Amino acid sequence: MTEELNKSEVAAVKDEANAPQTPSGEIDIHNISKKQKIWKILVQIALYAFLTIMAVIVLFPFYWMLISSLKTVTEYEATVPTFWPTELQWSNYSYAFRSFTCNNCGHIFYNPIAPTVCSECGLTGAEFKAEFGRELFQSVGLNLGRLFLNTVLVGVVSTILSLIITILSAYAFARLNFKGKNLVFALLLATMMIPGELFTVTNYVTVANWNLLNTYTVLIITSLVSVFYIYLLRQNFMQIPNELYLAAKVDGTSDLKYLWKVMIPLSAPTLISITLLKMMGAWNAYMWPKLVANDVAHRLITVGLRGEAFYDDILQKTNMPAQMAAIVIVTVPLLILFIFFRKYIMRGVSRSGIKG
Amino acid sequence: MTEETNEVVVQDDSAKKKGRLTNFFREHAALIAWIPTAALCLLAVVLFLAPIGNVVKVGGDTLTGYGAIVGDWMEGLKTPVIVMIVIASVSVIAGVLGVVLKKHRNSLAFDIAAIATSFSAIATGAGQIIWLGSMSATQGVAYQPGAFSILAVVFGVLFLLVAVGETVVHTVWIADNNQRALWKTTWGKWKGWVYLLPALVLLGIFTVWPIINTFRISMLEDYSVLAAKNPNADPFAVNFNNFKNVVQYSGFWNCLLNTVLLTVITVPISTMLALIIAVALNSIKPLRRVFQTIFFLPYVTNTIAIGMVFMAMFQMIGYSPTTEPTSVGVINTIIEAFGGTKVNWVNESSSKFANMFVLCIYIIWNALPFKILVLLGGLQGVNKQYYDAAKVDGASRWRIFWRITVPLLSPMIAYVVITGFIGGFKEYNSVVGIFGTGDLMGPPGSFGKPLNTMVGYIYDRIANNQGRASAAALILFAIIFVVTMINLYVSKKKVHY
Repeated sequence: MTEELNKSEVAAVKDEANAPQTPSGEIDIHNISKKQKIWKILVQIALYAFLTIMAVIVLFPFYWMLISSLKTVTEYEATVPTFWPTELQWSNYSYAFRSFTCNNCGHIFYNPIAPTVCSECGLTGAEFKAEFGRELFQSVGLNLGRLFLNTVLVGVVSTILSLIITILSAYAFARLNFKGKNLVFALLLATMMIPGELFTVTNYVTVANWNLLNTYTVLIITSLVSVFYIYLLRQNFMQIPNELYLAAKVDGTSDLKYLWKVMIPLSAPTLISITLLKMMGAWNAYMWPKLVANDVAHRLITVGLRGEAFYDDILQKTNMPAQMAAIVIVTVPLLILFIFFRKYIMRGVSRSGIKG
Repeated sequence: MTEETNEVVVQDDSAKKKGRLTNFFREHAALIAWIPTAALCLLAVVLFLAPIGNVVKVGGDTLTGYGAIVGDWMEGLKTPVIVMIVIASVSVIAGVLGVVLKKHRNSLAFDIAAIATSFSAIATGAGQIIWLGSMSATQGVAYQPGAFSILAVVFGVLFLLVAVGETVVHTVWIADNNQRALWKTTWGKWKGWVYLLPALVLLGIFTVWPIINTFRISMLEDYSVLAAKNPNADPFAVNFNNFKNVVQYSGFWNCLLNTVLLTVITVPISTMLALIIAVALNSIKPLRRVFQTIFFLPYVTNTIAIGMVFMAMFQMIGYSPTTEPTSVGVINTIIEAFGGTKVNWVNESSSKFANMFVLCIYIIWNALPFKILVLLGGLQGVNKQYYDAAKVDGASRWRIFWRITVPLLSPMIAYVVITGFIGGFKEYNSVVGIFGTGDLMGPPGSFGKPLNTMVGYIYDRIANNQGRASAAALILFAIIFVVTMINLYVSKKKVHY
């Protein structure tokens, strides 16, 4: 009852304050509410207009990427850019996956079809076939496929290992008592202040000394432990009441079983956030992989994408639509992940502020 | 003490037959545990001399003995041997103390030490065999592991079995309830460290050691892994020349200038824009989630991939300084549609101003999602009463924004500004995305990476001159540290918590 009264009082005071007063000092209630309504609607329209313009700006690169990936090279280079492809060129996507290698000199051609003559060594396909009885150009195919495979392998393995390590450490910090716990925790947090570039130099020296350059191990091992994720999960574990732990101990449950049956299910949202951010990190990694594993066998997707020339030997220029198709192929998995796990990703990001 | 003896007596009375052996173990547990430990210690010392048996054949000559390859051998396996000797010494001391003090229950400690020592014996022997094998394979010289290497492995395995068996005996067989309880509490005390072990080992190698080592190699002139591995090379001079060389290199100042410019321009603009968008999002109801999702999209993308799209949008197709382009590109088309003239944004001989403009646009586009997310989260936590109170007082929207929204949001604003500055000083990927074609780090036809950043400078040097790379990394760290301190100082004065 009193609350309602208060509310109506506040409303009355509000109206009074905002109201332009008539010369006679009386308040024209009808006029005000109309004026206010119109003003409110105008502000809302302005807000929506502003947000729509910003949204268009934000979305435009995605739109441009998609339509460019479906254009023919001729249409892409048209004097007046078209905002919708006149002819959908789906073959750009297979082009992004396919390439040919010359069996004579090993030169790689990023062409949708096999060339007739190798521009590198000057042999023609017919000459080669007459002499050796097989095709000069061999489809090496799935260039992006290999990059995908490497990236997924590195991403999955590093995520699983990192989760195990993070869970064990967070559990130790949250539930177990041992001497020096707080000191170690404080020291770990202190390392978060130091920029990663400082570690990279010595880490390169270390992995080079261990002869780990150009292996999968080197892509996984250096980023396995993230102090931030340990911290995040520890905070989450701390929220689980200690009584549960004590009850489990009374029942004779071992620590690991308790961790597996109680702690992990209860903090599943945080674990999902960590998993997603870690996978995104592997997908977007560029600098470290380029430095330590830039060979054909271990190259990751971003490094491959940036290093790929997409130079079409028949057209004698870079095939931009095919490059756009490759970019779409790299971008879409993340967008799909985002659509399905929007909540977890946004929560994880708002807490971490770290990309990956 | 008395309780213990009582218990023994009681057990003796109850089970005389099996009691004899048990008692023997119980009374001499420390001594028995010490025997293999001492033996392992001896073995460790012997292993130090292990290369005596190794044979190396260089060309037609056969070299044998310690002097032949001990230098190389020591380089490869110095650390495990030293670790082993330390462990062995510790376990010997523990064993002696155990006997002297008659602390039989502590035998577990050197049981574990014995296991560790056995492991290092195996590692040393096996490591030697593998190392010699790889040397033979790579250098075309026949290295043969000597008898000692093989013996080390064999004895290591044997001692491991003994040590494990002994531990089992100590913990399971001859343990009474008191001892079990003691071990349980001991395990309880150390359990935390065991859980932390994988994280601590990895952090030690890839986080703590780098902090120390980066300082070390920044003082070694032109340090590089290759030169460090070469036994004939001169040792590195210890001085500050790395810092001097980095600072004297003109490219470094260009990188620093680019980094500072990009940070100083993009952080305030993106923060303001994000704040406005967040406030706008907070004042609408329908479609809010849709807009929120759209504004978050740039975050879930690959910085380099979308950078390449930005490059394509600003690029003129078929342009060179002497020929007119076949297409001016989509951005220039839009500019021309609004009555402007086309600008050479990213093509050959484009101006640095135009390049930086494109970079700033892209970095802001990329930085918005995180800032909007944090600021909107902050706005939603603001108590509505403040706004009601302001409305009662008849404050204008503008005034409400500056006097209520901004101060209440100031912790979040400080957070995004500080992280923005730190991220800005590490800017690299967006430059690679737009200008990274062929590692140019600049428009086509440019030389000397005109748009490179600090991080780019460091990465360019990591592969062949780690000395200068670490000097540059330390300089970057110092800059980020100072800027963050200034930020924190300012926000302490301005932020209302």
